[in-house]
Amino acid sequence: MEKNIPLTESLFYILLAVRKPNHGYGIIQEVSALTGGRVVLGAGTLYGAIQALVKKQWIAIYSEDTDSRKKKEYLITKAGAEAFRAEKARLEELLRNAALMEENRF
Amino acid sequence: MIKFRLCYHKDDDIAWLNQLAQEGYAMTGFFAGFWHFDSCAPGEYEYQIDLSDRLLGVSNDYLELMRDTGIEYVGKFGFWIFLRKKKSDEPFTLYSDVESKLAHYQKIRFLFKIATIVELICFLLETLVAANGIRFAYYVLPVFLIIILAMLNTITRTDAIIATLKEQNGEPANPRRRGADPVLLTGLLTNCAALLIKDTVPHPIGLMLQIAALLLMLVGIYRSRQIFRPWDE
Repeated sequence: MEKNIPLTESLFYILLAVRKPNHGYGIIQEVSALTGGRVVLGAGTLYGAIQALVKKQWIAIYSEDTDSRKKKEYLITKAGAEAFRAEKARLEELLRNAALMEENRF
Repeated sequence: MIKFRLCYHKDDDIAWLNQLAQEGYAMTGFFAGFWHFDSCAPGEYEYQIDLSDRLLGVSNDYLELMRDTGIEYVGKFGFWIFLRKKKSDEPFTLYSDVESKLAHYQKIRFLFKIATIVELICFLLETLVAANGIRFAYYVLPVFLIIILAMLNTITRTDAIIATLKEQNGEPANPRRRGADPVLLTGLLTNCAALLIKDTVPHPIGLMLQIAALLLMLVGIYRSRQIFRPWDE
């Protein structure tokens, strides 16, 4: 079991965007919408991330239609969802502890 | 219109292509230093250059993704992919976060490292050819040297970019380097080779090798300049 390394922000949002089958451009749009335009994935970034996530088996190709017009779609895998939940737990711990900063009068 | 320009640094090339696009020339092809341009409206396009994982062809997934995001695939040469997009409000960037930018430049650095080693081997082989009496090989040697130096220059500049990106990412930019700089070592080895064969080869060859060795050592020392300023740690 590999040590839990924090997910980068881009990977976090890409995993979220493929919770249901989604294709490249759809992922970029959804991430932009979810972050109010703050995170706009570059095509190069997304391509590299998809290759890495497929290799790690955190996402997989959703069954392609034989219809050539249909775009290739990706869907998160069980392993990917687990990695996402682990990251969610880490972020929750951070937020919980962040509340302690209120003890400071600044 | 066709222009000739050798390229050694991706960022310089992108700036050049964009400047020409601003003047009304859109790049439509590239082959071995020759760039082909068509006319366009001034500033109609913005260009980008990407690095492919494979030498032959581009994957369908890549093409599809580019198409969907409004990016036009212009062409490919070696590992370099040429892309362009109609100019819009947002600047045309391929890599939106530090981590992927870092990975991209590290790939470029690796590619140039391999290319430089290959060029060095060619240079040494060419030296042997010249030593066996093929006179025109002498004239080719300086060309190899210039190419090797240009590549080393690119690697050094890429190192600087990688260091900046690493700092942005919160990683230490210059971990204490263990051992000597590889360029310096290569220079030393080349010098030894030159001294060894000095008496058995015609004078110009020995001289060529020693000049090459000297240049490599100077570049290697420049790259290790940190060692002369240990208080900068």
